[in-house]
Amino acid sequence: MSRSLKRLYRGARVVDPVNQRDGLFDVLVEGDRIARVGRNIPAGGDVTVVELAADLVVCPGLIDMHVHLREPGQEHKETVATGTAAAVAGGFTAVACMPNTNPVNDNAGVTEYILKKAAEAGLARVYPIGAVSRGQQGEQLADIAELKQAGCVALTDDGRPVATAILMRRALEYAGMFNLLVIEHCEEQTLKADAWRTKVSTHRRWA
Amino acid sequence: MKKDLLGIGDLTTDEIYRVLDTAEAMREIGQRPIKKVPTLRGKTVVNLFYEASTRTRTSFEIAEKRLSADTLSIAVATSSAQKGETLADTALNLEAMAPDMIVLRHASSGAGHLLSRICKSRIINAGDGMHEHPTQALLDAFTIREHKKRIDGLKVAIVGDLLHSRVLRSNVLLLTRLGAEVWVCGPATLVPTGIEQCGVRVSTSIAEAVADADVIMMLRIQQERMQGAFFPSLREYFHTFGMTAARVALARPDVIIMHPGPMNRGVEIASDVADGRSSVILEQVANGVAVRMAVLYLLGGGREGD
Repeated sequence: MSRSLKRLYRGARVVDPVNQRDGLFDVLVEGDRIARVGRNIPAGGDVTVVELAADLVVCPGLIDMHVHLREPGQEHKETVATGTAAAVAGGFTAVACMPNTNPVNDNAGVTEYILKKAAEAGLARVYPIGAVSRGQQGEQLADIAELKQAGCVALTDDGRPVATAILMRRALEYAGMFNLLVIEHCEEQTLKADAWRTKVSTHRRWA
Repeated sequence: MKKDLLGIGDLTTDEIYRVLDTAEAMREIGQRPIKKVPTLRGKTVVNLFYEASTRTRTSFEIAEKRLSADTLSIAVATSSAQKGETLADTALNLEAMAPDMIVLRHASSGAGHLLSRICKSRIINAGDGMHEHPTQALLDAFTIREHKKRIDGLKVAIVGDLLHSRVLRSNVLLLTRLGAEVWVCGPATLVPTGIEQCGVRVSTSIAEAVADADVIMMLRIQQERMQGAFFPSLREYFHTFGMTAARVALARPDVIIMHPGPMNRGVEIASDVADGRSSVILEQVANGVAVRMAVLYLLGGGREGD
């Protein structure tokens, strides 16, 4: 997009929490930057005016912290390209993807593959979340140092919660060295029994 | 000297220096054509080893023989412990045969203290569980002093499996007492809770720990003492905490690299570092005999002013 190209978006509800703004405002975009947000911004001769419907919302890109891009291994369900396309269609400019791919994202090779696919798709930013344990098996820690180096932003065993207190303790201690968050799917596997299907399947559907 | 040497706390600072100074003289005996003096003639020393050992047991045995002690080594695999005898009963039975000293290695922390309470023999702790290994720390201090001419003010970085290491505990107690600035470094899962209260600096960054160090001491990953996995893989361990030439380069140019053995090459230490010009690992082994001779002499013979 050329730096000189100017567009003025008018008529939609602007929600901008950082600036405590929520109402009908105009948004002037110059090139790839928001130049101005305000009421009744005059449209000069070099400005393309875009009239938006009043039921649309203009807001900072949303971030979905829990998605399944399913790649590698389950491309028949979803790919990084289709998942990020859906994300941007819904206003999500960044997604954090769960590690329960096949193979599991418990090593740098898988992380790098996901990031390569995300770069090729060129849509939403993708933040891979690595596994806490090797193969999400709950026994041995994943290669957390190399996951961090490869670009993982957090760790989780997702739908297979870290099952033992000792593994959780070591995961927190070890991940702390690399300033990585551990995200826990708080569910007690021994209690879930038949309730699992009804209660968790809703939760696990990606946004 | 106290009756027993169970840990560094049994030694006053003066006694530590007396051990180190005596070891200088003992080392000279090992360089003679006839490597034997009569100092402990007529004394009986039992080496009671409940854990696998090559270096320490051989080192004690050679030290005892060079001092002319009557020495025997009990490998527990062939002893009555295999028939269910407790450590205390084994010790009392040995005691009945009136040895002068018992050198004990045991997997349980405090095993030497138990023997100390029930035996008249002098007890030398050759490693008790995850607690102490005082003669190793003494030989390490001897080796450091030999190279650096001092210990006071040196930066010593101890890197590796801190949690399970008796070598760490004895060295921390000894080196901080002698004025070294001791840094300890390892994965957060292997850092003992409260270690900073021993007067050491703690880091999980190997670069920070070894920066400008005068001495780097590597500790083995003690998988035989581990319950479950403390870190993801040996590969990741090596990449994160292994001593490589690049990391040695962060230390002072005259840094010495130490390791109490047995080494796991490619895990805590790269082969080129273990065999490199900064390595004093085999000197430690050589010095171990002299330092143990000094300890045996001061506990067993030197007391009477021989």
